[in-house]
Amino acid sequence: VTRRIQQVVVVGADAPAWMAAAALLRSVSGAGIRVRVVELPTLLQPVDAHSALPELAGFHHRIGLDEDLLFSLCKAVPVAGRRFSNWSGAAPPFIHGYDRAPPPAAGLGFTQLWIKGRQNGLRTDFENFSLASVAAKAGRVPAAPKDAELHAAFGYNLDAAAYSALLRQGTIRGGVDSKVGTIADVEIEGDRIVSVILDDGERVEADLFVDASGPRAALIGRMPGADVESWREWLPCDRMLVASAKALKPLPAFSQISAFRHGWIGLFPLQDRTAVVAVYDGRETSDEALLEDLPALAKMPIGGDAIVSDLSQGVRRRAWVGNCVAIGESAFSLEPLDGAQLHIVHYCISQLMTLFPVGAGAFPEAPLYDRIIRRLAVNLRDFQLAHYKLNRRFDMPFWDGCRDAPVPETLQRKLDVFTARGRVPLNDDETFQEQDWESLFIGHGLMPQSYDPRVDAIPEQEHIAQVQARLNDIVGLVEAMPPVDAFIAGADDQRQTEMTALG
Amino acid sequence: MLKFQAGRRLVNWEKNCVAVGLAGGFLEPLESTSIYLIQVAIMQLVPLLPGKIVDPRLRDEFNRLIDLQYERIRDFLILHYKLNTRQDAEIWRYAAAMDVPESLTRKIELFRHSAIIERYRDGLFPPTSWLSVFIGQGLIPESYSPLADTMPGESLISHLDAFHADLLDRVEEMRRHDRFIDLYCGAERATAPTATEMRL
Repeated sequence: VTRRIQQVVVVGADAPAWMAAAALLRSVSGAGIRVRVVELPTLLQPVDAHSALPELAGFHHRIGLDEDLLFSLCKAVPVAGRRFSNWSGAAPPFIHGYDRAPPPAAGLGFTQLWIKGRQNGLRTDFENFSLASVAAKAGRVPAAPKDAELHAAFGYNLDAAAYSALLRQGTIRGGVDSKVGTIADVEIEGDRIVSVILDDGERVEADLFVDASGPRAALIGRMPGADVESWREWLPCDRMLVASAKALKPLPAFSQISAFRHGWIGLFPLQDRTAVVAVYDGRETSDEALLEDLPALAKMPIGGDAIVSDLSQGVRRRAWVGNCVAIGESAFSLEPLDGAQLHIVHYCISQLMTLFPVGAGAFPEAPLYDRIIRRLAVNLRDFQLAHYKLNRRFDMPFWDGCRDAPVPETLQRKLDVFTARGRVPLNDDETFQEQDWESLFIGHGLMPQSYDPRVDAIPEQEHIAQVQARLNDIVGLVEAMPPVDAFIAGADDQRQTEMTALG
Repeated sequence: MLKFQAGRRLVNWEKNCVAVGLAGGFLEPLESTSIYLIQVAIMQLVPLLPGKIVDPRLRDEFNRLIDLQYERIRDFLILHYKLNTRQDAEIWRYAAAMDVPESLTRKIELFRHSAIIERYRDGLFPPTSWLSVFIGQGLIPESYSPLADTMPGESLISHLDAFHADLLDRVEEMRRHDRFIDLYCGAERATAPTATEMRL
């Protein structure tokens, strides 16, 4: 019988470290397990923002975070989805809206009815049947009534430093011990970390180390067998620039992702500014040239605060080695094309809690964690890769290369089955569900060649009525949603009232 | 008397011929999976039915889904044998000692360790079924998640007692088995169910 875990140390900084500490505080400190944070220097710059999926709400609920604080303290803007423009030649932009699984129509998946309708001359674009996309276009926040059959949710654009500070404050107030430092050395025996030695000479020991240090991989990067498998052959971008521009008025209910000759530009509305991110292939353009082109590409003046960094995408062969568990970007990293960064952190933490090790001597939980995180990583990589694969920017070497290169078998299967029949074969540990993949594929112009044969059993009149009813339902629901500015003001008012009530 | 060999066809859909049920594979009726395997083949086939020409992309997807179903049921059935503790016949001693698929070995080891059950999307038996057979066959986990220690001992016991009492209450509300049969499909019914009753 091995000794049970008594001490967990989180090593890292910013949101990942504090998310991990907050979750540990909530989940295991009640079992007498001590949680400590070694806070490394921040990786954040004032320009940095997080763009997060709606699933982050589940994490906030779990740690007991009042979301009104995001709107009053973190410059947060709720977004119903992402608008992708210039990925497909002259085709209009499309919105990947954050819809929940839509209800069936006439007993079948609505998408199947749409495919047949389209083949028979239906003009209405697919995104008009997405509650979140319609809300996004109308500048509304999808906070639909709970009894509606159609559901959508909003994601969050957040000031990264403020979000991290908020989590940090709550976690430390909750009783987590923390220490600021840098790592001088890591003492490893076999596949175990014996201690982390800090710059002031302190030896930090623990039964379990959580590496939340982001791309630094300060601990897992030193562990045997945890080298990185690069995805560069599929995802060629290797540079990322972050800057800021003026706030958009009125605030849009979506983030904007525009492809350009050498990569893509993201505009993420925040209350006080617009975060600007450019992800590109450094072999195609220089940082200086890009910065010069940026105002024209973003169609707005860019502040003088741009920061450029290397971007390397890939997954560690092992994310949990011995007594060291990597979460978030320490486990695998992807460009922020679909806003999954904080979701990855959240998912890793959830898995760590489910598989929280029993003993401090051996960790038979580790291989399962590795398998789950790898599946999560591959599924997300494939989602992001599909944007590149399906691009229709012809006669540009970068984009031609992305379109022509073979994709992993996991993505090819999804593309094949969707092209053949409009169905998406989902794997275990998918971040994005059927409605997300459909939106992505159809938005990028991949039109299914056939539909579920049962659709032909629906009489034409009923088919038309079902399609019309779906449109009407969406229009009705969106009309009742608050505009972005009103939503933020409401969250703020709510906060003011509570503060006053507290005296 | 029926002689059988357990297994499935390497492919269940080849050219314009799709195997459904026993034509595609045979698994002993230990957990009543035969009708399910017919049902799931039909349910997977219908949305993927080809047009005049068989689309290999649809065929491959059907085969992939069916293979997953078979493999997961296979592991679940083998589990019963592997965990047996009978010493009274060679077959049981053999079954307890035999090598099983790696996918099952790691399931058994994780459950033995601390009752961890890996979830999957495509497959008949959910974690509750696995739990039932693991425990039922006498595999008691060696330890438990530290998260369970967040609840003090006495409240843990009273929580479990309350859970058990709630189950008993709910069972009490259920109809007696014979009464259910009388109401639902009693043998005194003179006529076969109509097409409407069968929702045809």
